[in-house]
Amino acid sequence: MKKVTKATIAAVAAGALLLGGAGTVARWQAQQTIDAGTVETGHLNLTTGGAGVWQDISNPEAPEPFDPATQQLVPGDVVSFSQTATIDAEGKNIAGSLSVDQLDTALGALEGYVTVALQVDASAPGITEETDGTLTFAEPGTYSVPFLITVTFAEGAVGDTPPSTYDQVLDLEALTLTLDQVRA
Amino acid sequence: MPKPLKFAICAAVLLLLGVSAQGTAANWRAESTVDPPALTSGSLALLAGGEAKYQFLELAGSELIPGSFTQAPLQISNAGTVDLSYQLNGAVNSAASPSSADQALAGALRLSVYAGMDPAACEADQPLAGEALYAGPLGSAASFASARVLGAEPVPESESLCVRVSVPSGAAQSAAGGRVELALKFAGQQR
Repeated sequence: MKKVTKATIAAVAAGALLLGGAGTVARWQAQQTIDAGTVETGHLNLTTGGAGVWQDISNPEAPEPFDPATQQLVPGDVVSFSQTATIDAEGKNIAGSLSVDQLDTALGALEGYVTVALQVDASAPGITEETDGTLTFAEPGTYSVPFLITVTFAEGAVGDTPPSTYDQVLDLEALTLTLDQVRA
Repeated sequence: MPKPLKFAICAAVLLLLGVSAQGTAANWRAESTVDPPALTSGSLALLAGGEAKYQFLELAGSELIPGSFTQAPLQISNAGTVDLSYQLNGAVNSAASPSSADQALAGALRLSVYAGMDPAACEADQPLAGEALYAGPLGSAASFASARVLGAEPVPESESLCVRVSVPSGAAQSAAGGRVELALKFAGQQR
């Protein structure tokens, strides 16, 4: 490298350093921190309490406890399984839709004698039942949605219910509860 | 294809992808499953002498003469899981082709059924005691005055009946030499 080039590079570097140093020292600067707080997300929870309650409602005026592990159905019996789903929704613009589905239970030898029905109680404040059967809510909050499965063993005439209905196992299909957030 | 058009298509596709991805990812879903336990149906079973079709040999009598009888205890049991009531639902001669003497004897015989009598006393041909359930001729209409109840809980119940078949002292001579195959039919009904 030529001496002239070296000298030019050195002069430019020195000038740059000088200019940088002058800028740092010579200009004012003020700083301030603003605490904007924290931001949290909401939540959307669906829970079902306990194991549910079985009742013998053959006499609607005087329901009795029913234990499916030790007691059996006979013609004329009506038993019900009740449980409550709880929706816990938090968030400024939270809204949701709950659907409750149950597959048809295979009745086997009890076909024609036993019926299974699902009933969802949409009467809780803030809950609206839509035409497609889903339940919706439009605001944050806690909502209780009771549901009831009813099993009815029809009471036939004398000698009308055949022995083929003896000792049959009726495995009710599981209920699937799905809670979806929706945007209004 | 002109470059502006290509850019426009690419931009539209990217926008659609972005909107779609936003919709899928942003909404929450909570699920819960409730699986109720299985149910079981019960059963109804009525047994006589411990069997559904019992051959009541103890009641067999031979060379019965007017004024004599044969009697034997009969155990009736609830073998199901539900309370039941049962009834005598006919007492008939089940012989396939009865002779005139057989028919005369069947018409003459008297059937008595008592509950609450000691089986040993019944077997020993002691006088009938307890509650009279039926006393009358054979026939398909023979039945107890009221149905008997056998519970299922806590353990299935049973009871002993004393069954007597007698030839009345005034039986007609035409019944002599007759033979009757007596069939007692009981019917249980869920309560």
